[in-house]
Amino acid sequence: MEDSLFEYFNGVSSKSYQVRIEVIKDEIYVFDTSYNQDNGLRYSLKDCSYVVLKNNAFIYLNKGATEYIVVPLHSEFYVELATAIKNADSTWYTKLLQQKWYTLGGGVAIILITVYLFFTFLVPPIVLKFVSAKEEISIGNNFYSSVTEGEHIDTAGTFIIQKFADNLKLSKTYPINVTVVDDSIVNAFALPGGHIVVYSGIINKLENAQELVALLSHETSHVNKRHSLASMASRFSTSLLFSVITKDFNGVSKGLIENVNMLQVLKYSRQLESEADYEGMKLMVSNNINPVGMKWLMEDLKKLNREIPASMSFLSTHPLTDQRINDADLFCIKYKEMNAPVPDVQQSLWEELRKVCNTQ
Amino acid sequence: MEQNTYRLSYLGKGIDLFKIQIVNFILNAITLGIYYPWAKAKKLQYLYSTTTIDGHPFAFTGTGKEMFKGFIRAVLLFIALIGVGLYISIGLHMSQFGPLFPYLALPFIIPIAIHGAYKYRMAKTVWKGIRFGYTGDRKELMLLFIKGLFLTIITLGIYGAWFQMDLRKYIFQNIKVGDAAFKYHGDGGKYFSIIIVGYLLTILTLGIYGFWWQKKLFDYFVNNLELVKDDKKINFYSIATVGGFFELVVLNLLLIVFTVGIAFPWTIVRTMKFFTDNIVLEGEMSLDELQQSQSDFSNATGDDITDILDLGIVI
Repeated sequence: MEDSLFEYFNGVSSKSYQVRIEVIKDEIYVFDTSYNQDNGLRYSLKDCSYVVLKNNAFIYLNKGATEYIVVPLHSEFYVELATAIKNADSTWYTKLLQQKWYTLGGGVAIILITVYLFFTFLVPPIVLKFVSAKEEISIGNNFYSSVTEGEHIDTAGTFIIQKFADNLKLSKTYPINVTVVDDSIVNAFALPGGHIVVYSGIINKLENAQELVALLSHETSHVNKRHSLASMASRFSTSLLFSVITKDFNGVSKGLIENVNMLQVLKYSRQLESEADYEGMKLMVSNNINPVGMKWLMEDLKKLNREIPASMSFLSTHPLTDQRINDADLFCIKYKEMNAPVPDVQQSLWEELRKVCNTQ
Repeated sequence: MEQNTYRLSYLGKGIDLFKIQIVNFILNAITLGIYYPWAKAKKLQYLYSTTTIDGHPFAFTGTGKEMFKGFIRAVLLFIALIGVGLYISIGLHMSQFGPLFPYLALPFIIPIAIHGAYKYRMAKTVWKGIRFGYTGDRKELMLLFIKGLFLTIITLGIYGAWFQMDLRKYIFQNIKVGDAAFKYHGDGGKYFSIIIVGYLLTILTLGIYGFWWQKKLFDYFVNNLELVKDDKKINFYSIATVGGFFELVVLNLLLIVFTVGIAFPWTIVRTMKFFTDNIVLEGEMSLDELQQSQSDFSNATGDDITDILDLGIVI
């Protein structure tokens, strides 16, 4: 029976030998051509594995893969050996591999969505829970010194705006420290724990004291709602996790996932901005200032910002100004009749601040 | 004397590799990355088992468990390095030097890692039942490496070509398959001229010469390689063409760009196919006469360090 002769490699040399094989219980027996029953070599099926390439199965008889037989796929022995070895090696990994590609793709999608939800909704509140206000203030102080390093601080402006802020009831938990930086940038931002940095550029664009109250209320709301800490926690943990699970990906896929992650970060920060607008207007009301100042502030900003086309709005960190104006408008309906003039002290502080910032 | 000719070929399929990577991704994600060594083992096992010489596949016999142990040791090593760096910064008040410490240790760690990686990879590479082996000496490699690095730095990179050739020669002459040894005949001067000419012409031709350059580098790598046993040897020949490189690079690029990277496994398969199809082995030595003579070695620490540092390993 020529059909029952197979190529066998014995792990001593790379030369092949002709052998006969037999499967008895959970062992493979290898005999030389003389079929001498006493000279058979025994291999446990447990240690066997096989690889199918083209028309042959390569059946490794030991874990070190040094001894193996080559069995043609058309041979009856192949079916017998394949089923015998499969029974010994039906790992869950092989089962996973046998799934259809779209099942596996679904698995990937579920994982990515879970990660997204986990880091957006679960991680920030957990981090916030573990970081006390005191710690947050000290983190913010560190940030403040590195952020303002090399910046030209307008001491006169800072003194006046701080007085202005002190006359408002802004935060119960955090000391609000406002700094004016002499720069034409039209921007302001809040750091964790109470530092607010305002560029003289934005002060020059404001038209009245109400708008300054709106600006400070907006930034204070970021502080009160601990937004920067929350978004830092979300950003840091997401990027850490993505770098772990995409270790084996190539540059392009990594780039893709990072960009998706960036979009999610941007979306998150837009949510925070809207929240700060809303909370800011509430703060204004509680300070007996008409929240319509927030709407004016937005309108002033809109005048100088070339508007981002609506189709690109997903790339913006701030919600579109039009949308913010609309939201502010809705909020202010209730307060249409609110007659709340800015106190004289604040009005004169505001005028002084304008003067100081304008001359520079 | 009788001449033997052997062909390599790669029989893997993009879809299979794709599925392996997807399953690995899922398991890595679920285990927060702990599955990584097992995932790596699966991928290597697949890549090896689909590469053949003379119709017989390679086998990778390394296991996830071995590589996991190595991974833990490698991670501990890096934590220790960072720890020493922090100690120097904070404990010894040398805040400038501390962060540099792990980098200063790299010239020592890289050769140790390369040594360990080759030792492990080769011992776990089997063909026709015969184990490969790496018989290099760690100290020799380290001296070679530090000397080469030093000269490369003081010659502003020029010595780099000689350094690379020395390293390649040293590593290859210590790679064995059974009782046969590899040899590499590259020469620093020649390699340097290929790099310089290739670099200049590629710039002058706005990149077009790049395909010729690739072919020259590939030829220089393959044609200088031989396998020696006793007084007989087998030479490696490249039959790659410029057109072949053009098709490989351009199509791979298009595949990656138009599928936003999803086709990456297919490009690996295409690249493996290209390399194996374009290497021919010819000589008096017969690959049926190899004798088992290399011992097994299961410490994967070096392999995992090279992985963390992202050093590519040839073969």
